Amino acid sequence: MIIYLIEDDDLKARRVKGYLGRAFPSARVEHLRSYQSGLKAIERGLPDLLLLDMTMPTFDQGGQTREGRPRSMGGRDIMRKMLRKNLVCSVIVVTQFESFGEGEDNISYQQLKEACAQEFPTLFRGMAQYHATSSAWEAELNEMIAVCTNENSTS
Amino acid sequence: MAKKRQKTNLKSDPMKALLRIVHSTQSPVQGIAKARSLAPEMSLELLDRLYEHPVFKGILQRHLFPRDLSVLSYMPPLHQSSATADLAWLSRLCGKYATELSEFVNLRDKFETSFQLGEMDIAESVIELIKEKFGYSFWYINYKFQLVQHGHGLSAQKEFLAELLAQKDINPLVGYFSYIFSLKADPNVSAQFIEELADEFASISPRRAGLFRYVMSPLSLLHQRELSQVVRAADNGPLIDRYQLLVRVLQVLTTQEHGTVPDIVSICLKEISDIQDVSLNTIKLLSGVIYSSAATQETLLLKAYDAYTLGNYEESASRASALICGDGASQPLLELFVRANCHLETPVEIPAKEGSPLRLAISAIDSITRMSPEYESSFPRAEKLALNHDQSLFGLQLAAFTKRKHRFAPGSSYSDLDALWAVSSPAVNPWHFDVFKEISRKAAELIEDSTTDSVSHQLRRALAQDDEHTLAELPIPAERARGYRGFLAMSKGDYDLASELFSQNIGSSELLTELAAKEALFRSLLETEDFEGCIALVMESFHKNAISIFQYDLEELISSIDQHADVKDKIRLCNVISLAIRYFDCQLESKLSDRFEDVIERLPTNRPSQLIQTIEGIPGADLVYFLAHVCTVRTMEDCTVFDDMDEIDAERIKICVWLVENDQENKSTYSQEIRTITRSAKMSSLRKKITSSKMYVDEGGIRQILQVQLDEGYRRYQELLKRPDLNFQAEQIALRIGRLLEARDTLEGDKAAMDFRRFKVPSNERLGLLKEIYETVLDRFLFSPEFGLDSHLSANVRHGTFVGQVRSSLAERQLVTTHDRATGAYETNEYWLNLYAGLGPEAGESIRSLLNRFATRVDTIFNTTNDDLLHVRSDKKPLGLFTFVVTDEVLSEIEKSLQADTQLDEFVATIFDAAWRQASQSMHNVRSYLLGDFEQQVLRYVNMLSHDLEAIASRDKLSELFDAIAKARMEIHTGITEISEWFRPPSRIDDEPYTFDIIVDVAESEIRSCFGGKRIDIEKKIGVQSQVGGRKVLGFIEIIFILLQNAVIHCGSPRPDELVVNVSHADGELEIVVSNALASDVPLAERGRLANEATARYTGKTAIERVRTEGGSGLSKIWRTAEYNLKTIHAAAMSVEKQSFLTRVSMKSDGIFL
Repeated sequence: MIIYLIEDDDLKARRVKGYLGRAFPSARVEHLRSYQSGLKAIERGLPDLLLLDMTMPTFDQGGQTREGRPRSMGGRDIMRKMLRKNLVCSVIVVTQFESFGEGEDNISYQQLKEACAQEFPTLFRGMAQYHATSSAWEAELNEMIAVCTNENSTS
Repeated sequence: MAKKRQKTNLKSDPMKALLRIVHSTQSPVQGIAKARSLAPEMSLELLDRLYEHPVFKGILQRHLFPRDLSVLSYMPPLHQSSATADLAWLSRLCGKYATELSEFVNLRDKFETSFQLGEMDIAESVIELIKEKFGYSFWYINYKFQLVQHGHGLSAQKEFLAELLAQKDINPLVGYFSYIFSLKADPNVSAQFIEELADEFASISPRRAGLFRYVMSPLSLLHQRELSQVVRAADNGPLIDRYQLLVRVLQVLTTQEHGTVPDIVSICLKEISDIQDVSLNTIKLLSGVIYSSAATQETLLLKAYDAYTLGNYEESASRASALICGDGASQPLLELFVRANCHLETPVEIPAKEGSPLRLAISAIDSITRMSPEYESSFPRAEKLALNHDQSLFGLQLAAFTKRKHRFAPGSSYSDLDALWAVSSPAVNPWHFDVFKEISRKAAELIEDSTTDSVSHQLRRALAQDDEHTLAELPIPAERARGYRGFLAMSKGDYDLASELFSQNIGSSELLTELAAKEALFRSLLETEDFEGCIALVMESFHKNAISIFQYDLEELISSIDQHADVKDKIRLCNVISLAIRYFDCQLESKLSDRFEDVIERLPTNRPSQLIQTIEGIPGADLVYFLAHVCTVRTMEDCTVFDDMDEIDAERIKICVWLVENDQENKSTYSQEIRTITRSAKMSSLRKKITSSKMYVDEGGIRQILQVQLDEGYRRYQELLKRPDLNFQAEQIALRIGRLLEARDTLEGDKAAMDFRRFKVPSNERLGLLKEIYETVLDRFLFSPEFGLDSHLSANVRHGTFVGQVRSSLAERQLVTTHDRATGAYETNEYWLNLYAGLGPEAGESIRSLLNRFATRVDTIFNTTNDDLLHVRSDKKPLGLFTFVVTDEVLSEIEKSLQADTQLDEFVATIFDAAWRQASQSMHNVRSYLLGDFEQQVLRYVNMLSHDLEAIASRDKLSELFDAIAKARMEIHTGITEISEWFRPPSRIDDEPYTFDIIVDVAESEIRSCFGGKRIDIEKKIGVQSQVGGRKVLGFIEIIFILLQNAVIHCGSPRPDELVVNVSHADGELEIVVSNALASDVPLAERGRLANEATARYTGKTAIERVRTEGGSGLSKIWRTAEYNLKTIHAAAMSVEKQSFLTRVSMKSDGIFL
């Protein structure tokens, strides 16, 4: 199984990768750090499963290059572009925030989940809430990945 | 028992019982309210009976005419009656004062007309007469503020407010509303602000919410569900306020139900039938109370409309002008006047004073009607005027106009505001006929009967009845007749014909005809799903007059295209989406991004600039728009065809360069954009240079001070290299000594080993010499106050930068507060405590305590790292992470690079390379520490905070705080990673030139990244155009950074005020001045003394002594930078002037600029 993890937070990525390594030892996990690098990887080849953070920079951080504008809904942007390009795979959003966006555009975790389900029915398979201080999210994610894996094997 | 007796009495002799209730209650006012509530159906009789009694009459009219401001108040009754009874009660009460109120209405209309015309003397005398006759009222205070503002300006208006508030025993509510009226009159306060204030205030007291909204904005009654509540809340207020309220309530009630007027309206109208008020005429007609044939004024009004219909625009405008000036209070003809004038080459002048409300209103309506460049700014102006005059028909028609989305054509959808305007206006107004038809068919018939000769009404009727024959026979201008035929065709669903007719009118020389035709054509094309046609129309209109796109519903067009069709012209589609975003605030960025990709995917190189190469001849306006507004950095950031931001910037610059040449009208905008992109890239590269050159050693400076030792050492070393015999001899001696010591080691064990270490000599003499030279250089390399590593560590890292930046993300997220420098106590974290005040004091205290503990923990590790670890290890700093031990390996590594023919420069460079190799190893250790133990420790504290908070309340209750912690956790990691990159050998600084505005901006951004969460506004005055390059750039950034840092830290308040950076150059002297206001509690004399002391220390001797220490003003660091980096003659002074603190650094500019 090929899994793409699009996540700009290295700490979170480290833990998610750790979990994936334990739960799916045969899976190949590719870690991308921004909207651009994530989407480019998807365009190069679709993974079996896409684990997606919601907030991310446009380009990878660090080094001598600039990262472009921060995207409070970067995960949503990626899913939208996937739809446009007809790139379909199972997507699970893994986020550590309770709310998203700023000011009037601010929406809650639940609202975002519902919006993603409605907007991307062919892609979105669920949303897991990551906590740095607990591992309860692993079970939640495990369940969703199991559903995706079943879907993939039957389709 | 008492309650039971009352009930019994109510049955046997109800009126007597009610009067007894009034008598028996301690407060007669509340007694009356209670009696009304017990028998609403008898309230009118009760009122009459109370009026027969002089005492109660006195009580009832005590507040009706408040002679003194202290009497003015509103006291809503505690007891509720029925909705209709309250209205009837108020109407009967007003009816009892029909004479007085008729007089008021007469004076009110006179006042309004004169005020609108700008006849301020008349308005002033009339309003004072009203006050004299009717006492104080909110009506009076509101208009009085506006009069004072209009006649004497803001200052006088505020003085008037101060006078009112100073009056003895003023009711707090009256005081508050006076303040609101003062704000309303202030031309700088928007209508939107007042409306938001009204909403906010109303939410505080729901019982009086309606009244509050009404007092602040009478038109808000339209949105009030229970109008009777407003009437009840106004109980005991002044008569004229209550009458105004009653009239507005009756007008609103008339519009609320289609096809019928509520009975209560006619009941009330009968009660006040003796009051002479033309604003009631139309609702009287609609409710069937009275109908009188059109009065003279109405006939004249109709003639004005008829003249317009016939195309006699000058007559129409003249008639409208005469009516407005004669009786503006009851003649809503502003729009007719403007529209008629739009058709005239020489418009009719209205004889109103310059700057009068009337002229302002006409100007705003004119700009909106013509869709002139002032279109957008005219709306808030008109809305503010409408708000200020919203008790009058003048304000009402303005409000209705600004909110209207139709042209009174067939199929128009009329808003509540349209309906309110209609029922408040003379009934013969043909534009309102459709509204009246919906309210009362009978009334509409009566109007029809009385307007049979009116051509404008004939037109209305023909349109309403789809009567093309009559329409064709009406003597109206051909183009307008064609337009009306188009509307009729649309209403019948014949869109092809409609489109054809409207298309013919598009070329009209009459602006209004053209605009109306375009708007209607758009709708017609949309109905037939001719989206390409719609898009073409929108873009062509836009290119002709950008403002004209406001008449098209672009959001609907784009949504229809999404649902139904594909559009061939992708560029134009992108343009329309972009217009919807720019002009209508539509959230369509993602759609634009997708459609943009549709365009560039068809280009061989996927670059929009390729479109430029394919153009032949003059480029079309659509392409120019597309390149200017669609191919932006933001849109391109969404595409995966670009590798990085530099590529996107380069593409945008390429486009802008082309636009400068090909869109002359906006070339300055594109030039500015190129400058902004270039500047932003330069700032970014400069910041990177700062990051990559914090670990600096001025090798040239060190070489200069060690010139003699290095020359001599080099010569001796070369000699040894050239004479191996000398070296062999020395080696033999060393060997012998070694063996000797080895033997002793065997004999005496540990002691000998110790002695060996003590007497250890280099393996040969050449190595000894090299060691001596290296140690001398290394000492300067590390500790030279002028040029050494520790001085730069102090200035670039330890002097607030490290702690500031590592703490910044926590401060930004409000997780740590600042602490008192003297006591070390943290400021209370008001942000989270206020946000979670609802969780109760116990939870609040726990949150406070946890955040406090967190701040203490993280600050301890930040400060320990800064104060003890980020140093060169020495006796004074034994924990320093920069360790330098001169070992044989180090020396041997140097030796490998030295040959007999090595030149002095190479020799010195090799020595410095060795020092940098050792420094690199230390920096590697620092990075490992920061990314390892340090980060883990900080994150552990963050996780502990998160964990402990979960024990106080669930995550959903503290969701904002948990989100802040999650964000901070991520930012801490990113921040520490960035900081760890400081600890690398410096990259070579090129001579790229920078202007001072960029230098100051970069210093500002450095300051911001050190003081996250603190609001810092900096005014920049840059009077130097010359550029600087190389390390001097970093020197200036360092100086300005330290000056700003001082201002932020020592200003005495949470945020620095009036922070100004001034850079100037005159007579060969460059001067940098940073000033800031000091908080009022800062002891100025003490601060002045400290400033003088710091200035006195700005000498070489003191600076050299202090340059490797942190804290204080940082002047020693500025001295070192100016002396050794900028290499110029310089001076600095700190002073306190009035309430400001100033630091002035001046220097000779010779050799500074490129």
